[in-house]
Amino acid sequence: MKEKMQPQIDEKTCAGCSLCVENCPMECLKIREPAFHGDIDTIAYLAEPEDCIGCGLCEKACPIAAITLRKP
Amino acid sequence: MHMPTEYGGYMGRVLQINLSSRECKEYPFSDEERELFIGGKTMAAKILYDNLNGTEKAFSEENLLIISTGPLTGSGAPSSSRFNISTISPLTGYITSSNCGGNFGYYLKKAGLDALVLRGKSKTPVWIEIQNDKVEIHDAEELWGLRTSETQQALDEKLRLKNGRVRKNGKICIGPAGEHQVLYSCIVSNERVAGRGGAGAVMGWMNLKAVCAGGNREVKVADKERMVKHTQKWFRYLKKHPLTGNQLPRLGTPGLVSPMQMRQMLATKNYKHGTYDDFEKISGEVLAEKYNIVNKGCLSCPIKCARTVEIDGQKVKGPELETLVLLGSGFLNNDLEAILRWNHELDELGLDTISCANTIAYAMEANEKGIWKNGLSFSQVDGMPELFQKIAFREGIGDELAQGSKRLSEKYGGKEFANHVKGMELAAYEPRKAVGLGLGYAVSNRGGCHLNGGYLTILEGLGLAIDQTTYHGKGDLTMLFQDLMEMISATGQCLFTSYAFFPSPLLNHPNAWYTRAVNKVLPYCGCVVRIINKFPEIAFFHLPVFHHTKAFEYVTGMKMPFGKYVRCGERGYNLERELNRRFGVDSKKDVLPKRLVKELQDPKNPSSKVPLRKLKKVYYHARGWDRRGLPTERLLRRLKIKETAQD
Repeated sequence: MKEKMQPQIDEKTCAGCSLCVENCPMECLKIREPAFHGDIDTIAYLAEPEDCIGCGLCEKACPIAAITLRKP
Repeated sequence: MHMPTEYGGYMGRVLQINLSSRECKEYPFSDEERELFIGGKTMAAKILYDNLNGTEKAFSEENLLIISTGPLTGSGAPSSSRFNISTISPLTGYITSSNCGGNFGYYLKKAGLDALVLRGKSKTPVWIEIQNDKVEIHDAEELWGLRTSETQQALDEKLRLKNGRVRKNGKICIGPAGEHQVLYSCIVSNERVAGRGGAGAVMGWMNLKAVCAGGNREVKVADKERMVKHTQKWFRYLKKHPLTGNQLPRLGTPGLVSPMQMRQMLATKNYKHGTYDDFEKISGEVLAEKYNIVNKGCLSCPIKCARTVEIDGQKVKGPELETLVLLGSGFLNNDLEAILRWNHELDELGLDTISCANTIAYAMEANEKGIWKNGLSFSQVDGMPELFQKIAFREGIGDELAQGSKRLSEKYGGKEFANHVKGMELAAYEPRKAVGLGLGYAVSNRGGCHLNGGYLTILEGLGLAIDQTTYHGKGDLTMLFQDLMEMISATGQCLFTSYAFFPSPLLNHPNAWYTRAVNKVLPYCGCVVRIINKFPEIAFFHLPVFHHTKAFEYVTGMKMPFGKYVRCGERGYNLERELNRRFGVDSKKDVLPKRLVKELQDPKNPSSKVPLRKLKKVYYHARGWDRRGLPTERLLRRLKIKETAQD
């Protein structure tokens, strides 16, 4: 069942530290582009959900437990 | 001989590679040594201390180039992807250590290594690939001559997998400047740079173009559950703090240009003045408004102080404060666009922006004074990119400039305005209005460095606002800050995490009665610093604003109260000093250029110069060093430096 899981990112907790992005083997996580000029709170999001294999490496890499694997 | 560790945070392996014989073997580093010398720059200093006797030259088979990480590197602690490069500097002839962000430190640990010790010289250009402990030395003929971004792209192509993706890796490399052994060439990792001291030239001398590391080893955290909770708290704290949550992400380090102008510490015209009329044109605010696209961070960093700027339709790394000031006000140049281009060009060539800008500023003043007719002059900066190119490839005048300001001033004269300490050029802070930093520059182990010097400017106007020109307390505070920063670097974290050490109300309300009271009292708190220094066991607790100690405990499993943390930093700083002693460093080498100690910055203000003699006296006394500025035998035994030496 695990391959159907996808990372859910808690936007309030995520600090955009990129550890999940760096650890994703499928390169499907990205850091959001700034929403406006001077936006300093860019965080991670699942940019390519169809590529995600639900491996859980992002969940493991997140140092503040802001990612949980759930069914989309 | 594998020496596994019982502590978390460490991979338990240090690898040494001899490029002459192409032999790889494990370097023994025990848990007892980890307890005392932690990691990063302190671990590197220990390895150098055990292997060098003071006769080695930077460009020699005996010199070592050590790339080391700390126990917190890759642990998930904030801003902890850092690594350190230490070696004997070609610029100073003493130890240099350069700390760098990016992702190489993270991947070196993923490859299963705490540190890499390189020595020897390959006959032909090579690059090293490390994948899960496996080391391969590849031919680098086709990489030789490439700029730093081209080199990294070419390496990515070599690491491309069958599925088309590039294998996850961290890289360090040198540019043409390192290949031509420009004395202040740097080592680049992604867009981040280990800039100071000329480690890139040592790598170039070794014929080593690049190192790539990668793998799937995991950093073991001793108490994962508590570490996650602590990191959540710490991330939140950093995001709310006025410096790490607002100023640094919003403006980056260039945000300090305006406060430095206000405090008359903006190095202008080769440190002749402390203010620049056109400072607004090169300020962090204008940079953020006009050119900044996004703030970027190193891996695992919530602060994200780096800038990505757009120039000539290209997205490139923005300049740091020191680069901005030295290429701007340092040259009397108010063209911010030009500075953005030059910054990018210097990174591409692999030149340290600080030393390069200072050396050119020296040449401009030497030309102005008529002691060296070289055609360079302040304000007229049209041909800069060509000049950088000449320096990197050592062509024409570039060959002379490639030697740094110390050697040029010995040849042409003008030592009083060659702004270096021990051969390494100063950062962008004018110390006559930040005398604590002046002391830091003078005594710093790696030469004219603001960070290794204790960065007292944070108290002298750029955070708090203690008296900028008094010598009271500056010796003790410099010692405390040097020791803290030594330890933060040794653990593998970024020094910016320590900004949050200053309680927010003091920074948010600079004119409140309590902030003014702290500013008045702080210079007289030297005795408290000395008590903690002498009896670290008194500080058996964790400070609520200093999250580093608890994180260290949770990751490694070692006890690390605040007092012990400071003591470890003190050990590292004294170890580097003791190593430098072998190379001939004593108080006579702890000097500033005459301009900063004799010439008044403001002719009407007799205290606007660095009272270096007084400052050094207080500092040496606080450190427990003798009159020659050297650690005493008793101190070395107390710090367990002597007993642990192999020689």
